Amino acid sequence: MSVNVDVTFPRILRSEYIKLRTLRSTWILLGSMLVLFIAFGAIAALATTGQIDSGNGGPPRALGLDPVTTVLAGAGFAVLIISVFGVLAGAREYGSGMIRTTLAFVPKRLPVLWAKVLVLIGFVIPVAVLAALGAFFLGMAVLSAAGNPTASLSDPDAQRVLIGTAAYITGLAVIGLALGLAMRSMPGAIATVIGGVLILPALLTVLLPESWRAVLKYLPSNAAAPFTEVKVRVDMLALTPGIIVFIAWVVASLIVAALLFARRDA
Amino acid sequence: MIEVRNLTKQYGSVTAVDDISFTVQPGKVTGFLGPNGAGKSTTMRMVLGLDRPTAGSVLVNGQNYRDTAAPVHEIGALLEAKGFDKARSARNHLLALAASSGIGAARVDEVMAMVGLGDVARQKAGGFSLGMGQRLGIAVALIGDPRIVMLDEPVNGLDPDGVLWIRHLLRQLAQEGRTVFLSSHLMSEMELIADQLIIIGRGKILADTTMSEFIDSWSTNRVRVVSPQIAALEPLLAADSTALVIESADTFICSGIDASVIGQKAFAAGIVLHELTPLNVSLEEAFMELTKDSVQFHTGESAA
Repeated sequence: MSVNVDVTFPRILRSEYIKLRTLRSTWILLGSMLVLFIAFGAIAALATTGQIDSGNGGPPRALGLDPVTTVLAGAGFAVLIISVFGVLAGAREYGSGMIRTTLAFVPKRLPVLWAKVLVLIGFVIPVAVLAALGAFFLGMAVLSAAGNPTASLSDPDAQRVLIGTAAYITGLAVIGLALGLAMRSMPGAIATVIGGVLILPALLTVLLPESWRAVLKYLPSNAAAPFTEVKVRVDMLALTPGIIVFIAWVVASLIVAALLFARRDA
Repeated sequence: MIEVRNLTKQYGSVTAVDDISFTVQPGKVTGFLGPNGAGKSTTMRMVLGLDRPTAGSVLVNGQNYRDTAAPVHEIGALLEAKGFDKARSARNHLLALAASSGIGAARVDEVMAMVGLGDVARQKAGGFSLGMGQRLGIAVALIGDPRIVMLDEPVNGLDPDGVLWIRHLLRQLAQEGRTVFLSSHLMSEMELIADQLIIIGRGKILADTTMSEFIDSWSTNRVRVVSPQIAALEPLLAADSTALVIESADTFICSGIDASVIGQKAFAAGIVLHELTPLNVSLEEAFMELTKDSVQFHTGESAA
């Protein structure tokens, strides 16, 4: 074989792309995120218009929410699914031992990490944008058909929250990957990302003394609130600090993963 | 060529590999033999840069493996038979790995066929037997036409057909001028396959020699003699024999003297012999003898 078989970054990217593409779990998780995100938005919209019952026969629960918040009701599920997807992308090769083969093929380690991150982002962003837009248009169509108030895509709040939600989902996928790679265990990393992002803020709200409450807004999910929620909350960061703090979480998790991945025995 | 220099690996207080040095030459099959836990796999992981040495260094074809431009062309390795994702097809597994070196589907299909997995290439690797997993691992090792082939316990789980196949393959790879380095805990396997033998026990090199030298050094021609008149026979042999061990009232074992010479002398002196048996130490016994201490005390004092 006289062909060039040097390892190059585009080739590593392609390798990681094939890895993610050839796992059925990739398509199951991304597909279910897309479907659930849109479906929950539509269901919330229907509930708001009173076309379906909220279950206990009472008045529709979603009443009183603004239309954008209503149609993005599925975002919470999307966040859960995407966290798991990110962790799988980071930890899965440790479960099988394939990581040692990967690193035998690409002994310089950090390019493997960066390629995994880029490929993950490449998979997540289109689906997250599609899901957010799908939920938005389907939900607004339901609301408008029933004569309820709607929001248009030209609405600055709608733009901020749609872009913000897609970015939040993508960022959490990256955090999941970093944790998966750092912890080398799927159950551990899934518990950490879901616990840290979804459970910890609620738990700390209850447990922390009043004077400590100020730290809550720096947790990843709360830092994302200014760009994932329509209503601007006074107890949260402003938009720009929120973006900076959330990006800092993503970058910090990647730095920890990179340090561990580069140094320790595979 | 693999050059291992003063390589040491400690895990906490346990020394898995203890200041070992050896060179694996191209053009022949070098066996890396040792009991389980002797440090074979740890050494191989350090060759690939997967584990960081506590001290010492490894050169792969004269370079640090991490600094090679085309790692797959330098070394192809099989470290664990099940090192693949169960949910991915065998072909996709190999495609993904090969892509990192720019190797495409044509070469992947060629190698899959070569290891006998052509018909099952699109099946999920999770359904593979241990032997098929080994074949997939060997396909992974050979994909980049490597100058060094390094296999950790390659015959594990292979059926007799597969064992023959791999012996043949390794012989051929060595004849092509490649460096072939394989580990095993079975002397019987090495005996059939290796030209050069490196024996490791408790993290230390116990022997580094050619297979024929190893066989010669351990097959001192010992002979068991059974005779009702050993008292008369013994003085006749004492002059020529290097060691004489009395086993029972009518049996002794002598070494350094041929069975034919003993027969001659006994006949000339009119001594009756009931048995005259040359004893060859099997290589398995030689290996056991050599590694006896390292196995016995393995859990005891390796922390030093």
